[in-house]
Amino acid sequence: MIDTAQAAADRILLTRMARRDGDALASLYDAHARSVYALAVRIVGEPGDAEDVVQAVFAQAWEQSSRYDASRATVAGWLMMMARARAIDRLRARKARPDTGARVEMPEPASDEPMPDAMLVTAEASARVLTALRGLSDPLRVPLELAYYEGLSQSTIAARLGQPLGTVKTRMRTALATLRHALRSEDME
Amino acid sequence: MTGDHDTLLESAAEYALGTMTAADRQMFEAHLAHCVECQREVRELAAVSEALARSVDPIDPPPALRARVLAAATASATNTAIPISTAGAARPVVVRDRRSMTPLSLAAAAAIAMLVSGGLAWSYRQEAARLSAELAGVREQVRTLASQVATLETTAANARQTSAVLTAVDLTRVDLAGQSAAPVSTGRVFWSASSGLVFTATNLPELPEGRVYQLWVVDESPHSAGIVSPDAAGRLNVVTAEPISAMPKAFALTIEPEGGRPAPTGPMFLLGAL
Repeated sequence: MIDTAQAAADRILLTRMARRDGDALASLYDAHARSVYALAVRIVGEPGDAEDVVQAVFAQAWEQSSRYDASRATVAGWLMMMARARAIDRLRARKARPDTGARVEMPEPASDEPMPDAMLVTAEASARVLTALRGLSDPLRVPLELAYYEGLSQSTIAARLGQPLGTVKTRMRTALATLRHALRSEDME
Repeated sequence: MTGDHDTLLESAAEYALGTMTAADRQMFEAHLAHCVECQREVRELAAVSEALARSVDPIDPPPALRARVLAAATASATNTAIPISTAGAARPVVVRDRRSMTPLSLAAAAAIAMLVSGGLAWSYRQEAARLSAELAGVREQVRTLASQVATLETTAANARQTSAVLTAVDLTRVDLAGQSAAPVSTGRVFWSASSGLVFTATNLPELPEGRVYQLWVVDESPHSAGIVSPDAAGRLNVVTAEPISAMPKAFALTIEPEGGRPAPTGPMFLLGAL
């Protein structure tokens, strides 16, 4: 299904899930479990742990289905953010000593004004962003990867790389600007 | 102040990636609620985050996972079916061999069977009601216990973290002296690049409404280690797993307006240098 149709279908599934329709959860799983599982495997490495992450994500989606807000993220985006957060939690739990005390929290900004629906991220856009990430020089790419795939805070990254915090902040901002440009460059949705 | 806002805009990256400490996040969200520029920044970065997440090639999970996920999710507390136990059911009715019964006895047996089965249904309903009430009570207990466990986990995590810092091989201790605003207050920082930070202080006066203490780790510039609150006796114990800086030169405690600030603006209360 193309991305916009999938996004609309997903929203309907969430509405049905909020009314405790188990078939809707099954449909959501069939549409997104492969992506959730793949990201979990990428982050935690171990298939058993990755399976637990998938379970946690869909359980959370079921529990929170009535609170889903389309202005904050598309359903796919919401699931993937949850997947990343739960995967990093699991990664930290496995380490002898966690790298930061903070749980990975998804951004939930409150706003004075009503927000438009969240930006749709297409498959092509994802591919462009990944290409852009791989094209970054090591000094720019490594801090971002540590933050993204391991959930490390900027100060932990700075300590680990032996760099000043200001340098890490600047490099991450530069790297993200490159990725944003790649995201925006062909379609404006 | 554009310099100030530039710092906040840079924080949007940490916020969107979800790696900000709780104290910083509180501060940033307070700012975010009223700043359209930062909101836009966060939304765009969240889209980048989503793009990265979805750029991983999908993998088929094991087929058995599907059933497990669907069963576990839908069996949650919000829609548990009430199991009916047979504990209170009547004993099975024994009916004698039909051939030895008179027609009247058969009718009587049939009537008895109907009464008994009606009774069984009634006792099932009673049992269901009793179990339902019990379940509600158990759920309430679970909620209370869960919240107690959460508190204990936090306490235990703090204790573990303090221990990790104090036993670190790269431990440094810095005494903080009260500055002119606080001649009788004292503080001490135990800092380890690998394990984090423990900050203790005594004799901290209660602050007026709208003011908070904020802790800083200073290398080339001050970095916030969060907003901290002393207890009623003016004592403070703060533990972080964050080293905050790779090469700190000093630690300081200042007084800031409610919500804290990205850089110190208030009077220096405690200061100590490595």
